[in-house]
Amino acid sequence: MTFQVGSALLDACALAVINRSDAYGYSLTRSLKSVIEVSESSLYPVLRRLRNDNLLTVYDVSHDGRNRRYYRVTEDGKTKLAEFAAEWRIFKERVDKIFSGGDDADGINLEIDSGEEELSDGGIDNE
Amino acid sequence: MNKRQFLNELEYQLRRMPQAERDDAVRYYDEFISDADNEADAISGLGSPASVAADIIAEWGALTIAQSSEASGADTKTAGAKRKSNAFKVFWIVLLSVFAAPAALPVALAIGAAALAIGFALLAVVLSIAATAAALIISVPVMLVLGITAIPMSPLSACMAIGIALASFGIGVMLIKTVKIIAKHGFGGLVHWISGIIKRRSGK
Repeated sequence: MTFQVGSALLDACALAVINRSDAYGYSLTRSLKSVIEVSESSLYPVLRRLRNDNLLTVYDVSHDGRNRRYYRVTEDGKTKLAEFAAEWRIFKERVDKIFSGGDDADGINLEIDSGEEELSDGGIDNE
Repeated sequence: MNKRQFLNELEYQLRRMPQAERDDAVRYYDEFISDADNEADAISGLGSPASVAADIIAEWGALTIAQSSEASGADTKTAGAKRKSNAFKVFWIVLLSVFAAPAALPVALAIGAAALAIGFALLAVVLSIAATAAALIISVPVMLVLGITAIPMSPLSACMAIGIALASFGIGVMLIKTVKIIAKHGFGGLVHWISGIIKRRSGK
């Protein structure tokens, strides 16, 4: 993908994916990699930050004779995710407006969505 | 590189971090590699342990510094100072980890430029102090001659002129010593710092 994913968007996407169903490190990395361009090593810092901000909690589940650490979105995390989703919608509409070339302030309703819409579905549907 | 080697190297790269943080990160990557379908692919996908560590340390450093600057406002003076030195320590750890990661060439260039700037600033300070010292020393014979010739006319003015001459001489000599010390320790320290960084980079 041409567009780079900044850290706030990465936080939002990670929260959205985990909010759908609790995830462990490797599964989360795979889910995110299938949608956005993200390196394997950039996810741990994101998870660490989200845990530090109490947006995620962890719990261990035994699997194959070892523990697997799952991540779950907290109540704070759900609130934050809703904020992210709302802000993303505004951001997306503004960018869409530029691309469509419209100049009347709020009169544009884009009924036809591009492939980019897929990205935001996770965040918005889960509220 | 197998999983064990990767994790050992990662743990080594994270050695300056607090134990709990290090264990958490190593555990994550232990699980990550174990969960992958193919261990070798997962490890090569992650990149070098040093660059993985640099990502971890950078985030940890940002969190720690943010927290310490939030907390230090309410603290007493000594605790605040202690936190400040902690923040500096964290900053230093982050800097070292960035240099350990070969991917960080732009950062290395930035630090090289910063070192150069510090060097020039130091040079400017040394030169200005040296110029002051030179001016004071040059003024000594002039004031002495002035003072001695003034003795018959005005003994008090003569005393003042001679006094100024002697004081200028003393201050000038002290400034020259200061310049020597700054030049020795300042430039010596800077060179030591840069060569340490270069050694660290080429050693990897």
